[in-house]
Amino acid sequence: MTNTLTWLDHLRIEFAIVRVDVMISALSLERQEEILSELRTNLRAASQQMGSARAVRRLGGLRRLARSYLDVEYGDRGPRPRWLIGIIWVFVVEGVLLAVAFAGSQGFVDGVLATDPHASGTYSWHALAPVVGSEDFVFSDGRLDSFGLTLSAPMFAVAAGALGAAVFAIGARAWRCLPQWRHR
Amino acid sequence: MNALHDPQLLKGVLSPVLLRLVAERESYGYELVQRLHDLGLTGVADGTVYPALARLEREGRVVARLVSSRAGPARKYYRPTPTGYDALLAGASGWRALAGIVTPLFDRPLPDRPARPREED
Repeated sequence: MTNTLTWLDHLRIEFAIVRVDVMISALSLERQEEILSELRTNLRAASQQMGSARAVRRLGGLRRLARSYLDVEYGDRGPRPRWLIGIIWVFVVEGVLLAVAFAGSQGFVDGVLATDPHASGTYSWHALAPVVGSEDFVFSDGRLDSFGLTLSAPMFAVAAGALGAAVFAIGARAWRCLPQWRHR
Repeated sequence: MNALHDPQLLKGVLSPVLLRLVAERESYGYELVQRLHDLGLTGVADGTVYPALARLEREGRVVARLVSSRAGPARKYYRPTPTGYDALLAGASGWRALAGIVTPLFDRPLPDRPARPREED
């Protein structure tokens, strides 16, 4: 007997799919999509026969299912780090921080002009001074003439390097290189 | 737990069985689950069959193609490759050889009680 799926069936199926998706995130995006698409198709077919609750239950445990898919891909070597994803994460995080810093400096300029619409002289923004350095803005009768960043080089290098390394390690899941992780 | 529900017993024979089924008729994942149940292998979880198919595909023993379905999204139908046929023949032969040895053992009359420890000579 074939039943039409209700919204609750679809919800239950998608919830199972998302859970498997999270657990197979070590695979390439293309492979994840292949697996999840096939799993969704099979779950829908099974749900039409026996209901979604039983269909999901008959998978026999989502964690075990995900581990089986990982075993197919990696064997007993365990999942590998995703170096490319790590690099992408570094660019994304650094880009976001750059955007935040830009928005902050823009806010500082707006603040100066709001306080004195005819501001003249050099104004320094010290919000990022401990890490990056101070940023100087030169105004002439309420007009921004120039601006420049005075880098505190050692601190900037340490902060940028540490942040980049941490983001890269987390994004790439570098701990998978450790022997105890490779044989999980 | 009987043999039909023992995952360890089923695990070793699942790949040749799946190869045999798709050799008889191209099928998609859930259809294979149903066919296994129809055979009497009701203890095979759906979640065991799908990764097994992925493994067979990765090993080049089956190939798959997407076929659109009126009931929903396109289904992935599997059929064996020449390598898969060879693996099926080898698997079937191995199973018969194993069964040929093990079946007569289990067909022997079983003592009423477990054997007593042998006394030292």
